[in-house]
Amino acid sequence: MPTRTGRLTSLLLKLALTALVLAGAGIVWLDAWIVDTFNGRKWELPATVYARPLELYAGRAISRDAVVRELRAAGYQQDASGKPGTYYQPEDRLVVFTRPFAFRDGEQGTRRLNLRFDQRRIVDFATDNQDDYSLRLEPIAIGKIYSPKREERLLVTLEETPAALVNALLATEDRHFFEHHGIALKSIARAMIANLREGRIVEGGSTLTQQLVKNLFLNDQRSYSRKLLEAVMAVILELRVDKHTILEAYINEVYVAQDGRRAIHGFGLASRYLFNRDLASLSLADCALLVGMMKGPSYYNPLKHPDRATRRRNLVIDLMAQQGMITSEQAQTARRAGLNLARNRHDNATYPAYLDLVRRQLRRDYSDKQLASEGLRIFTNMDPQWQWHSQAMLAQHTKRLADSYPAAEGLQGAAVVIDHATGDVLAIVGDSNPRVAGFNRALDAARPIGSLVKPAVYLTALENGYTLGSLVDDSPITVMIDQQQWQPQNFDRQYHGRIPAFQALANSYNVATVNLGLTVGLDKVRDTLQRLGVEKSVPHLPSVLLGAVDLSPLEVAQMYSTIAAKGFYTPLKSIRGITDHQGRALKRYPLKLESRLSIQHQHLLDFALQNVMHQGTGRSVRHRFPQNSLVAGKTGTSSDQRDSWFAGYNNRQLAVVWLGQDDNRPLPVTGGTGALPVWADIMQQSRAKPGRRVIPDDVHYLWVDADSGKLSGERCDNAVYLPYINGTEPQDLAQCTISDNPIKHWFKKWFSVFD
Amino acid sequence: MVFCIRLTTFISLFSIIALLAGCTSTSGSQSQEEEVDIYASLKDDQVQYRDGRGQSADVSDQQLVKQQVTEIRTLYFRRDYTAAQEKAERLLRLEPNSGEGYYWLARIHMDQADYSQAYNMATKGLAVTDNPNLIRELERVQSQAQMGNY
Repeated sequence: MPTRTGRLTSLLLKLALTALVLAGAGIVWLDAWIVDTFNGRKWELPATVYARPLELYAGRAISRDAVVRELRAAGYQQDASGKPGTYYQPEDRLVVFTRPFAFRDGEQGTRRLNLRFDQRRIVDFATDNQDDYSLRLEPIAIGKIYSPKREERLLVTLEETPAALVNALLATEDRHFFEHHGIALKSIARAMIANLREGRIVEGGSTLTQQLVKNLFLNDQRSYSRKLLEAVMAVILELRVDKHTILEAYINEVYVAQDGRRAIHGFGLASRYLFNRDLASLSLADCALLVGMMKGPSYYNPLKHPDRATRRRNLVIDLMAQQGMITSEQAQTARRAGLNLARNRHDNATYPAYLDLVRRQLRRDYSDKQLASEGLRIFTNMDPQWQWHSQAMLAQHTKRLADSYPAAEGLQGAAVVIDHATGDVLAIVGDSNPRVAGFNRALDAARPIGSLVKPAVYLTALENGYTLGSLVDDSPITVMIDQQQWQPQNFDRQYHGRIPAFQALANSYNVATVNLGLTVGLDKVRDTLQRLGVEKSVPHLPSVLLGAVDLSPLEVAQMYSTIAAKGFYTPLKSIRGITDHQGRALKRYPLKLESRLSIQHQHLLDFALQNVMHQGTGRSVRHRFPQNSLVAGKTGTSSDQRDSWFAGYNNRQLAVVWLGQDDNRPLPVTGGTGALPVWADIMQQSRAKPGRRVIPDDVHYLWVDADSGKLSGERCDNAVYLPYINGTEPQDLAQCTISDNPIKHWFKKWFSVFD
Repeated sequence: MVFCIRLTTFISLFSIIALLAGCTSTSGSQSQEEEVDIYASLKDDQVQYRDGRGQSADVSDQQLVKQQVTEIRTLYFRRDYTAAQEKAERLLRLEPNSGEGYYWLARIHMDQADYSQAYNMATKGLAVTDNPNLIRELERVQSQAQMGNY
């Protein structure tokens, strides 16, 4: 018979064994958790969004100021130290020391770039690599996509970390790091005595490993049980991971600074944030400052409290000297050094409208969680030169108009600029104050497009047997809509009788357009709009012929890009490609083309839209562009003058400008007096060269009478030079009178430059 | 009871093995290397610069286009289609009316059996070029692409 004591002993033994088993199971579980987390992705890395890289080469039309502005926006500093990330400007030259950068197609190392400029372009180009005939500058980071924690870090390896930083870290945080196994018993004992003396937890005695465990796996709660768990986990971590890896993880994990709502973690990003330099290039004093800041990222913020931060830095330097890590001379030099902080710091929130488009495109392929945590690198088509210029022009003009007209108070606007050959969206402005991240009018303000629709009407006519010289009827017309009479009017309240189609389009005659559209068929015009790239449903109403279809500036850009790009539809895109945080390519958005118009019909319409700029509603700005250059476009004003539009292009870029009021009040300006001058100012940014003009097969030019559309001659008065598709030429001859000073048609002058 | 003892033994053995592994891995991992100036070569001012002085800007532009086309061709024949396509698109950003850019894009799509895009690229190339040799080549690719579609 077992005695009572024996039963108690047996029970205790069983309890002890059970506890041991549970503790063992707990350790096994903790071990699996720690190893999994450590080997997997430890941190949430926000996605970084980049502008397009600026490509430099001899002959590139760009000013030195423009290149310098991009360098500054990318965080480059002006000094002649020769450090990567700096530039200087001796005489008419620009010397740049580039930083290494992982482009989508591979890493580009550091370069010394030497450029010489004349008034318009780069005349000399040289780098220290003989094989370079062009060089891409590191693109500007235009934004981040964060998780709600808004943590950000730039991962670095231990090899990229200066020895001075490691020493400073060990000197201040854990001088026995390389000797202990996760916990330092002496430090814990010292901390316990201090805590007992105070009656509360005042000291942790944590090693670097414990701090890392706390940051990665635990919360900030201070209790003995959490401390015990932290110690156990630290020991497990040390058993499973080598010191090198732990130190590297710590260097990337630690919270160093706060930049507004952005929490800056890790020394890699802190170095960029404070010094605008790579971690590897920091001096002893810089390293000591970073390590010193860890104690209180806000309290010791050198941007706000330079004296306090300097004292803290010097304390770190003293500790390093005391522990023999540096000599007293090195310490003295470091103490005397200035804080050496970067002068210019770029602002992440400058391009809200563009980033909005990027996010929308990304959401088709990535979840919010992936975007905010996987450190994706998103390479966009945003061209900072176009973006800055468009922002400035829109802001300047809306202010000018609001100052000039009381009715224009609170005037809003939007602008979109694209490269029509590739579909790249170069710039987006969604507000007259471009920094405001509210309603993005470029994407979301769907407004009646007014006369911007007319090219679709005339194109439909051209595809259905009309020519540019065909006479259209600008005479009164009454259309029944829902048993109500609709009588379209011209802007000048006049009727112009039978006039050639190209004249009716150039002068944007409403009545002629409605007559023409109804003759060729409303359904055909709607089909043309869809082929040009309008995706939303177009109402089946005659008023569509005068632009009673609501589109956003981006949708208008898509529609006009098909006209500008020789009849090829290319989906507009803000993103070129995406890589993971290590530069491995994940996704590309390649160029896709779809032929939507015959090249002959496109050529005729393109001619007519160039004529709008020479002789029609766009003529007030034509003189601002080279005489022999391609400039085409169309004004748009919605009914009651509530929207002012202009969409136009040259042989490279296309821009759409909209002006209006959010509450839909009428404007004191039309498309020609409101949006057109903004458009012309924006397009001044273009350095497009005139280029060769290619006339498609089956198209030839004839002299015809500008009023009757009948065949005429080069020397006849009132003769214009129009393109015709073979077989559609006019047959009748116009009467020809010859005055002493015949004026050649603009196209003939234009064309003769290349004869 | 036997099970408990076995489990305890397993945990003890595991801990010993893990401890040994940990001790091994911690030894000699201290990183206190000499600071190396990895940018030293950049500071050397005695490099030879390629100088574009004396050339007109348009000539330099054309040289750049030629260089790019050479690279696209090389990548294409290496069958590195992604890189070749990237490069061709880069060329079109530089020179949107480059018939050669469209020609190589058409050939890349042909090789990947994307006949519809090959046809479109060749057609666009024809719309922007007036070079007779290139027109002939583009028309050849265009008709091949057309046949590929059937």
